[in-house]
This record gives sequence, structure tokens and C-alpha cells, in this order.
Amino acid sequence: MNILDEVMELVKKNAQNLIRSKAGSLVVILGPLLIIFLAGLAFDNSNVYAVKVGIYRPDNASVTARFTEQLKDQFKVQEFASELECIDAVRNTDTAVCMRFAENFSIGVPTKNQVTFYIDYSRINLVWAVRKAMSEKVDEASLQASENLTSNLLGVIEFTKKEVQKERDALIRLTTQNELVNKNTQDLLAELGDIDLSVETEFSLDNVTSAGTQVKQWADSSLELGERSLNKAAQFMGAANDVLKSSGASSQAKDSLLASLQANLKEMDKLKADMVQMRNLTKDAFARFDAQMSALTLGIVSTKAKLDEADTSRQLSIRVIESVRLLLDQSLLSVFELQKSLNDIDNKISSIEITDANAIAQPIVTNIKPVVQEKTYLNYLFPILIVLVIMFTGLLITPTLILLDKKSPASFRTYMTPVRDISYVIANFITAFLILVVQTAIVLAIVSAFFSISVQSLPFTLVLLILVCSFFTLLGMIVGYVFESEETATLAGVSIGALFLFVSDVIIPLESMPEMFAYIASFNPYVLGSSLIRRAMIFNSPLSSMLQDTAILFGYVFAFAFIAMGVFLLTKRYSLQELAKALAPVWDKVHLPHRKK
Amino acid sequence: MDDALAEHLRLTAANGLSQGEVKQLLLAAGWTSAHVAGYLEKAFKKLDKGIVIRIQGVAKSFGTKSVLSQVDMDIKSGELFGLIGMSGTGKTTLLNIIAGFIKPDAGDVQVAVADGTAQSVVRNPDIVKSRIGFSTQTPSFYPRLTVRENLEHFARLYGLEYLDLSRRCNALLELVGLTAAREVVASHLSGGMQKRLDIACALIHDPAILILDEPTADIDPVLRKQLWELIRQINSKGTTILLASHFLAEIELLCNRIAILQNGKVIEQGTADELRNLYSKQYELYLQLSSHDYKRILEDLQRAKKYWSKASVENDELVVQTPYPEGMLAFLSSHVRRGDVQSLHLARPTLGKVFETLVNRK
Repeated sequence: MNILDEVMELVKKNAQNLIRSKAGSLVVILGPLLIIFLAGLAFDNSNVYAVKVGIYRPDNASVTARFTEQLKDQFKVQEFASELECIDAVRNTDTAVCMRFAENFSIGVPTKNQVTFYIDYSRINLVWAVRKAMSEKVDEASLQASENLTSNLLGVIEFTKKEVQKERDALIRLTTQNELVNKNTQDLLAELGDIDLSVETEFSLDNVTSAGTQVKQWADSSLELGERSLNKAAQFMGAANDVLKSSGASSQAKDSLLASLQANLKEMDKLKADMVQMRNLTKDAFARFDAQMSALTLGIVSTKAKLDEADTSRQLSIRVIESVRLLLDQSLLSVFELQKSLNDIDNKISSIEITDANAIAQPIVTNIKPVVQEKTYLNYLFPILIVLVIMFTGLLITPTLILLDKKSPASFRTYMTPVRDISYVIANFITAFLILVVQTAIVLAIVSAFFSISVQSLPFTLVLLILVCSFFTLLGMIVGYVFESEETATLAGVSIGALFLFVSDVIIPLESMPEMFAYIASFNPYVLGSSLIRRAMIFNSPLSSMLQDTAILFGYVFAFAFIAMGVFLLTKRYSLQELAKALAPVWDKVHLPHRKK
Repeated sequence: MDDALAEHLRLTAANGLSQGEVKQLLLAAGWTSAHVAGYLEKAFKKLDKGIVIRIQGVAKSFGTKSVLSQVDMDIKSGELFGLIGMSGTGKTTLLNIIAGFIKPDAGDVQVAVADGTAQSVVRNPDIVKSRIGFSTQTPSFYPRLTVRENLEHFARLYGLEYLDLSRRCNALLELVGLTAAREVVASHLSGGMQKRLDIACALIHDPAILILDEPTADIDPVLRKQLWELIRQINSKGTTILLASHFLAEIELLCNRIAILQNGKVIEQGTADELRNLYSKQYELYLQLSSHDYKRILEDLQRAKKYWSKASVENDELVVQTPYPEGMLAFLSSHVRRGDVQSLHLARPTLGKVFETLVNRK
């Protein structure tokens, strides 16, 4: 008998056994129906919000009343008279959430704008959904208030901007003027600096008087000297006249000369008279000069005093102007600073790109749109659910089938036959695999009746389902081979299933796990299977993007097929021994040491 | 390579290749004549004439508990061999070792296969299994399949072709008396019918040896007798039967030879008479009086004490053990009032008595 015949015969026998077992048939047919029905009920979101939520409003503010009315659209709202009652209702699971508004609730007013949720986290599934929905309502109102506040704020900013721009021009003018004043001040300082009001210190009235006196003396002396000269000249003229008269010069010549001499003498007398007159005049003039000099001296002294005073004033003015200039400099610097600040303010205000209050209040608008449009959550969950069904069916029914066969008295006889070990393993695999396939087909048929399944991805989805069914069948077989009682095998199956679930993204997203853990979890066959089926069924991902994960899944199947065969061979002897014991009740009386369980 | 080939040929030989064919193959494979001769002697070794199972030095322990130690036994072709022993003496373990379910810690079980050569259960359990049918204490068949389906299923697993399969199934159904119930689901059968179906399943591949482990346990006396008859029928068709039971009467009634197992060892084996003769040459004389007055006879017996070993009243019956049955009969006849004897019979000790004696001695 060849392997194929052996396998077919064993599978046929397994199928007959299963079909004729009412419980077995029910499990095979009704199991997936029940699971999908329960899953459908559990994940149908049509009545997610038909839950009761508690509200406590310390006062009957219109805002809170509006919130409450909004919530009534989605929830059964129960109002409580006190916060404690509201919280107790959550504790007693009468309500899913208690929502408490702050006293004198007012939007935008710190401490009065708080909404507190009291949540029972042990009702994790419901709580998140309800909290999310309620938060959305609160956020909606909060957003509206925020928009109003932001709009006001933006108005003020716009006004400020205009004022800044306006005042910036005035400031520029002020700066220019300031600079001009500064320059003028500098010029003034230069001018003032250039003014020399110093008086010769050598000037002395005595010296002037002395000089005048000396001039007078010199004039007197000159006049005296002139007189003497004239007198001398007159003496010389008389002498000349005498000489001339005594001279043998012609009378004519003598007469002419004498005439000239007489004329000169006359002239000289006139000069002498002029000189006297001049002397007198000089004297008068000097007298006037002295008087003028005295007056001048007084004037000079007075002027000098005034100049000194002016110089003192000038120097004071310079100091004052310098201090003014300093102040002007400082003022200018301040003006510059102010200008800079205004520029900055203007720039900053100008740099605000988003000036829409709605956009500022809600800078990021989250539009949660499904990648594909579906009516309920069930479609999104379907890949997870189908793999979940396959996993638990594989881990629970397969070991049960194996153990039923292994512990069946009939299997003793089967072992007596010359059937190859590999035939047993293949037959076990095919039987359990067929059950899984039937169950998966039932689930798929139900699902396809209600939801659209992409025909395009169907062939690859089927390949993936076959791989997933194969893997969990093999894993279930290993559990069945290792354990000797249905109870322990069931426990092991559930434990392994739970392990796969916990190390997956069903409960906690992979991204929120520790990096190493997430890395390990990404190789979890359950994660691989559900992820691939999701990508294939929902997203219609290209085949090339799924090849790597598919190869890993195929590798698992291949490896676990060998492991299953190895475990079967390793445990066969012990299983036979246990079976032999079961088939010979008197064996118990031998008091053999049983293997520790 | 040579060893692998040799092993393959040996297995092939056990499946039907003649010694000459194997010799040709080995020579063609380049073996030397001497090497081939040595191999053939080893591979085609035969058990002594008439022996179908040879158990040699078999020992088995589970943990620190020794269940079997140095068990040696030969079972002859066509005989109905009984294995008796108290519960827990290792009967089932020994049967499972013979069937190849459990590997012995030491020793081996050689089984004569189709060509008469001996095959080790330890080394070639699959070959030996095809020669053995095993009916366990608890029937082993699929309760949800019908009688026919069960037989056909196992027949196919043994590789029977359709015609052989049909013929064999019908013959077995006839043999075990289940023809009328062939389409009945096995779980709906009565206890006796289930046992017969189990035996039929064990015989489906026409084994040379049938092992029956406690075949009549939990079965009422009527069905038990039917099964005994069936066992005799099977044995009469040439099937060697190894029957393990703790019903000594059953063993005594059915078996040609008996082995007594005690504490994992065969303490004695032989025919029922041989066992009786070996350990008890006394007869038992049973006398029941209508007067129920055994006191006077017991007093009289005290005077002939050297002619009996035990005298007692058990269940309103005087039981006297004596090696001199004729003399004791005469003695009692002379001491019983006429008309007082309700019953009187002489018997060899039952196997139960022998077994009890042996076990107590050991």
C-alpha cells in the first residue's frame, strides 16, 4: 500500500469518525458560525453608542446644557445630582463614563473650563470608544470657543501691526530730526569752539598812557627840535645874509639870494609859528587823546569784562550743548532700539502665515478617512478575526482530534498495521487542515454575503489562508502529539493562542511595544498572517510587497511540518505505552511510576 | 553502504525475497562469497522447528520498578499458549513487548515470519507486526464506524486488495458471528459482540499469531463460553494463540501449554497436567453428606492421618487431599452411613490451586 492510499484511508476514517460524531459536526459547522456571529455582535459599531453615560453639572449653565443635548444624540445620558453619585454609577457599571463639568463652567476661563471624565479602565473596550466620542463633542465646543478667542486675538494683533507701521514712520521722522539736531549741535559746538574771546593780556592802560606821553614828548621834542632847527636855520640865514652881504657876489645875485633868504626866513617864521600852533594843537590833541585813551581804557576794560563773561557763557553753552548732544545720542540710540523693536514686531506679525482663526484654533484638521469605505468595523477586523478563528480552531480542535485518535483504543490497532509514520502525520494534518478549511470557507461565505471581498486579491488571499491554516494546524498537531490529555492540550492550545495574541498588535500596537519586543512580535505568525490577509483583502497591496512576509510564513509552515514529524516520532513510543496502559485496565494495579504531569 | 544494503535486503527478504534471490543481489553488489554466506546465515536464521515466538532474556523496568526480568519462553506453532499471573505481574507488558509496542530493556523476541526466518521484534517491529494480531482487554476499533467499515479500514491499512478484502471480511464476520450485524455501528454492539469484532479486527490480516489479552474480562459467563468457542475455532484453523488471563479456569480449559508469571519472571511453564504433576501429586476428594455431620468422619480420619495431607470442611463439603485416592475412597465409604452420601467426587487439584501453591512457594 503506498503512502497516498494509506493517507487517504486514514483521512477517510477520520472524516467518517468526525461526521458521525454529532458534537464533532456541530463544532466543525457551528463553531465558525458561532465565532463569526459573536464577533459580528461584538464589533458591530451600529450600537456602540447605545451606552449610558453619566453627567454631573454643578450648575445649569447653558454651555453645559448644550453639551448634554449634543451627547444625547449618541448616548443615553443620565444626569446626576452629585459628583459622587455620578462616579458610583461608573463603579457600579450603571454608566460607562462620568463626565463632570467645572463649577460655573465657562469656556476659555482657566479653572472654570475643565471637563473631567471618570472612567473605569477595566471596561477597556467600551471606555475608549465612549471617551473618544464624548471628547469629540467637548472638543467641538472647545474648538468653537477657541476660534472666537483666536479671532479676537488676531484682531488685536492686526490693529497692533497697523499702529506699529504707522508709528514706525513717525519714528523714522523723529530719527531724522534727531540726527539733524545732533548735527546742528555738533556745528554749534564747532562754532562755539571756534569763537576766541580771549583778550591780549599785554594791553595796559599805563603803557598806552606812557606811550601817549612819550609820543607827546616826542612830538614836543620834535616841535622843540624843529623850533630849534628853525632858530638855527634863522641864525644860519642871518649869517648867510651877512655873509652874502659881505660877499662879492653881484648885487643882483645878492639881492636874489637875499630875497630868497628873506623868503625862507619868512617861511621859517611861518613854520615856526605853525609848529607852535602844532605844538599847541598836539598838546590839545594829546589832551583829547588822553581823555579818549582813558575812555578807551575804560571801554576796553568793560569790553574785556564782557568778553570774559561771554567766554564763560560760551564755555557753559558748550558743556550744555555737549550734554544735550550726549542725550541726543542716547535718545537716538533709544529711537533706533525702538525702531528695531517695532520692525521686529512688524516682521513677526507679518511672518504669521496663518491668519485664519479657524486654522489657528485647529492647526491640523484630522480627517480620519478609511482607506477603503466600509460600513462597520467588522470589515477592518475581518482579517484579524479570520486568523483568530483559524488560530484558535487550529490550536484547540487539532490537538483534540489528535488526542481523540491517539487515545482511541482503535489507534492501538492502527499502530499495529504496517502504516508508515509519515502517513499518520500527513493524515492528521489533512484531516485537521480540512476542518480548518471548511470552517474558514464557512466564515468566508458568510462574510462575502454581507461584505464585499476583493475578487482581485482573492486568489492570493486564499493562498495566505491556506498557509495560515497549515501553520496553525501543524502547531495544533505538535500540541496534540506532546500532550497526553485533552485538558492539558486545550490549556496548552489556549496558552499558545494567548501568547500569540499578546505578542501581537491586536491588544497593543506593535509601535508602542519596546523595540526589541516589537521586532520579535513582527515575526509572530499570527501577526504575519493577519497583516498579510489585511493587506491583500482590504488594501489590495501588490503581490511584490507581500512576498517577503509570505516567504517567512511559508518558512514557518515548512519548519513546523518537520517539527511536527519529529515530535510525532519522539512521542510515539510514550504514547503507545500510555495507550497500552489504557487498554489494559489491570495495568493500573501494577503501581508503575507514572510520568510526572 | 554494505550494511545499509544488507539491512535493506534483509527486510526485503522478510517480505518475500528468497534466500537465493538475496544471495544473487548481494553477489551482484560486489560482496564476497564468504561475506554473503555469513550474512545469509545471520539474516535467514530460523527458529527451532515448530517455534513461532522465542522470548529470550527479556527484561523491562519502568523507572526503578522492575516489571519483567529474564523472561525466557518458546511458543510453538499452532498451540494455544496461556500466560497466567496475578495482576501486575507483567503479563500485559510482556504481550506489548511481543507485539512491538514496548521495547525491552534487555533481551529480544524473535518471531518466525512467512519464510520461516526469525525476525527480531526489537529491530524490525513492522515486519513482526504483520505476523501478529492483537486483541487487547479493551476492544480497539472505531466505535462510530460500522462493523464492516472497521474491518475494511484495518484490512486496507494492511494492504489487502479489494477482492481479498471482501472475502476476508466476510469470512471473519462468519467466523465471529457478526454477519448479521455487519452494518451496525460498532458502539451499538453488545459487549460480547464488540469483543468478537475486536478479535475479527485482530485477525483481518490473517496473522500467524494472535495475542489475546484478558479476552473475557468483564464478560458474562454465557458470552465467555461463546468466546472460548471462538478462540478454539480460530486456533483450530492453525493460528497460534497467546492468551493472557487471570481467569485460571479459562487458561486451564483452553490452553495447550501455560506459563506462570510471578513478579516479572516465568516461574514455571508446561501443560496443565505437567504443572499439576510438578507441584501437586495429590487428589482432592469431595464428600457432601445429607446429615451435614462431618465431625465423626473427621475424628475417624485422624486415625488414618498418614494417608492424607489436609482434611477440612469447606462450604458444607468435606475436602480431603490425598495422594492415595483409591484407598481414601474405600476408607470413607466404610465410615459413612448408608444413604447419607449426597455427593462424592474425586478430582485433580485445579490450576488455581496449583497456581496458588506455586506462588506461595515462590
